[in-house]
Amino acid sequence: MNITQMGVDRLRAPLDASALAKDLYLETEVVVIGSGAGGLVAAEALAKAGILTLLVEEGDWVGPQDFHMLESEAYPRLYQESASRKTADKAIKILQGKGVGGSTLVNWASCFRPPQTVLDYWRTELGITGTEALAAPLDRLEKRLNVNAWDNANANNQKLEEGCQKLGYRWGVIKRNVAGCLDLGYCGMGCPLGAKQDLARTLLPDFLAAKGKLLYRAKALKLVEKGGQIDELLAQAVEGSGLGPAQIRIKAQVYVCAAGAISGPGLMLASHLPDPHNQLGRRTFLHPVNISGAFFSEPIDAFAGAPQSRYSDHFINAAPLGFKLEVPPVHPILAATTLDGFGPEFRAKMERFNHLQVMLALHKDGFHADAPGGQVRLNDYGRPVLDYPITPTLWESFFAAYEAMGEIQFAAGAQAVLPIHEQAKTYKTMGELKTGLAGLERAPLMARLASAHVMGGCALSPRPETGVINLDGRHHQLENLWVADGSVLPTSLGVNPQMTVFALATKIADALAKELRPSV
Amino acid sequence: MILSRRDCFKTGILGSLTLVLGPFSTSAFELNWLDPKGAAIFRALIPQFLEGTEVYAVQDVLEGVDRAIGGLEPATQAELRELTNLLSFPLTRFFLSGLWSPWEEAQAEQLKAFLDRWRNSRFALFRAGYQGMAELVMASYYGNPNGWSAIGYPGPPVLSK
Repeated sequence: MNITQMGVDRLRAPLDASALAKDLYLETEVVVIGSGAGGLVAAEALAKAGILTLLVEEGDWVGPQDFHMLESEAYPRLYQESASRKTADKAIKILQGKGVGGSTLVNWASCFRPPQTVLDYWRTELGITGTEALAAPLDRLEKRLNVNAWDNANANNQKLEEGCQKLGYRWGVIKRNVAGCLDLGYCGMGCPLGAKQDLARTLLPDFLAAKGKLLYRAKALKLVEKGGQIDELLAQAVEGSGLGPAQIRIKAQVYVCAAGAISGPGLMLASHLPDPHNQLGRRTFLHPVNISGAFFSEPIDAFAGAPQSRYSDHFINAAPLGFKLEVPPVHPILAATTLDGFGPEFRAKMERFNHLQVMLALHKDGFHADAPGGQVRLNDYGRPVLDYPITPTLWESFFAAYEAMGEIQFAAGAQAVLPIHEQAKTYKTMGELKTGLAGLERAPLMARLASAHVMGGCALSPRPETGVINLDGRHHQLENLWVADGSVLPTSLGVNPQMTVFALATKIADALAKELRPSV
Repeated sequence: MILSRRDCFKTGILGSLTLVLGPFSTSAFELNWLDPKGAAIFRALIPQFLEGTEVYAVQDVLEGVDRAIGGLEPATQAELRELTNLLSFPLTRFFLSGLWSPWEEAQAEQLKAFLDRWRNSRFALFRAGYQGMAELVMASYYGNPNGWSAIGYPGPPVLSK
C-alpha cells in the first residue's frame, strides 16, 4: 500500500479513516486520542489556544439526522462492544459510549458539579491541590451547554420524588445540558432533535473552526516510546466492527490520551509504557449500580420523558460506602436484558412493561479500603478488560440499597417491588421484601449489576508512587504524554461524572497550552 | 482430555447485552456466525426463553442472535464458540446440560431444567453462560418492533419534519 504523507494543517475537512485507500502518515503539534467528555474538551481548548491539534476517534461521526431512537441501531453503533461490555467475570454490565462526542452522545444528560466533600478528600487524603481552579470552567461550561434544572419529571422520576417526600428523605432536581428538549426520552440512543448539548454539537464546531482537525473511525493501537518520550502513535482504520487495511502513523510533539477509563489504560498497557510503581489501570471505579423494579397500578411509561430529573442523596454518606439514587429510562431491550428469569415468569413481567418503575443505586467506590475499585488488564486478544472484585463491603452496600429503594417504591404506592436478582421474587409488602432479601445470595451473577460511569486507572497524583499523572496532567515518567479524561479521577465521585471530567480536562489542557505557548 | 477443555472455560462464557442490527424481515435466511451446532442449541432454547409470548418466529429470533454475536468482542465470540462446542459434543453436553439426546430431540421439560440449573448454579461461569444466552435471546426478541405492541410499548415517537 502506498503512503499519503502530510502535515495535518493540510486536512481541509474531517477525515474518515475507513475510506482511506492508502496508508497515512500525519504530523501535528498535539494529537488527542479519544473525543469524549475529556478529549473533545481538551482538544478544543488547545485548538483555540492556536495549537495545531489532531483529534483521533475510533467511532463514527454522527449527528441528530442519524439518530432514530432504536435500541437495535444505537447500541451496536454508539456503545463500546455493542453495549455488551462487561467486567472480566461478566458480573457488571458497562455502558460506555463510542463516536465523536463519546459518552456525551448517549448519556442521560445529567449534570452535577464535583461534590466539595470529594474535592476535600482529594486534598486532605491524596494531596491533590488546585481543584479550586475547576470552578471557572464549570461556570463557563454550564452556560455553554445550557445546564439547567429540569422540573418536568416523568412518572418514573416522580415516584422517586414522591417516595422520598413521604418518608422525609432528601431529594433533588437534576440539571440537564439540553436546549429545546421536547422530553422524548431517547437520550440514550442519541438525541434526534439535537436538543442535548453533547460535545459533538457544541464544542466540535468551534474546535474545527480553530486549529482543530478530526480523524474518525481510526483506532489507536500503540504509543511508541523512544528515550523517555512518545515518538509516534500507531493507529488503524476501522471497518465494520473490526479493523480495515489502512495503517496510520501520527507524529506529534505532545500526545494526549483521552480514550476513556478502560480503553485509555488499555492503550497504555498495550504500548508497554513505563509503570515503575504498578499504577496503570489500578483503582478503576464504576459507581457499581444495583437495581430495584416496582410495579404500579397506573402506567409509568418510563421510556418517555427526560430519563433523569430527580435524585436522592439521602444515603450518600450512609455506611459502609454511601449511594446515590436515580432512575434509568426503560426501553424494551434494556428492560429485557436487565429483568431476570425466563419463560412465563419473565413474560409476565414484560407484559407489565409500561407499569414498571425502576430505581438505581450508584455506590461510591474508591473511598473505603474494601472498595478499592478494579484493575484494567489485557486479555489474550490484547483487548482491555476490567477485573473488578465485588467485595463483602460492596455487597453490604448493595443490600442496604435494595431495602432503601424498595422502601421508597412502596412509599410511592408500588403494588410490588422486585429487586433485580436471579433468586428474588416479586414482593408485595416491606415485610416480605426484607424477609426475601435476607435469603438472597450475595454472589456475582446472582444480583444483576451495571455501571455507566467508568473512572480512574490513570490517577492524578502529586507523587509517581501513587498515580500515573501529575497534578498538571502530565505522565509521571513520559514527558510528552498527557492524560485528560475520566481515567484521571483518583476516586469515584458519587455523582454522574461528565461535568467533573469536562472541568478537569479544561484544567489539564490549560496547563499544556501554557507550556506550549508560554506567551499566550 | 475432553473434560480438560473445561479449563478453557474459566473466564466465564459470554456476556452480552446485545442488539440486533438491520431489518427484521424473514426473507433470506442466513447465519453468519452461528454454525449448525450452535444454531441447534439456540433453536431448542428460544421457545423456552420466550414461553408465554404469544407470537414469535424462532428463525427471526435466531437471526437476531446471530447478528448480535457479530458485534461482540473477539474474546467474547471465542467464549461463545467454546460454549456451543462443549454443549454440542455428546459427552460434554451430558456433563454440562444433563441431556443425553441431541438438542433437536430434547423435551421442553429437560430444556427448562437445564436453564434453571445454570441460572441457579453455584458455579459463576454457568450463571454467566445462562445470562449471556438469555440476554442474546431477549435482546433479539424485544429489539424487534413486532414484539412491542403486546408489552404496551408504542415505539419511538414520530417526529414531524
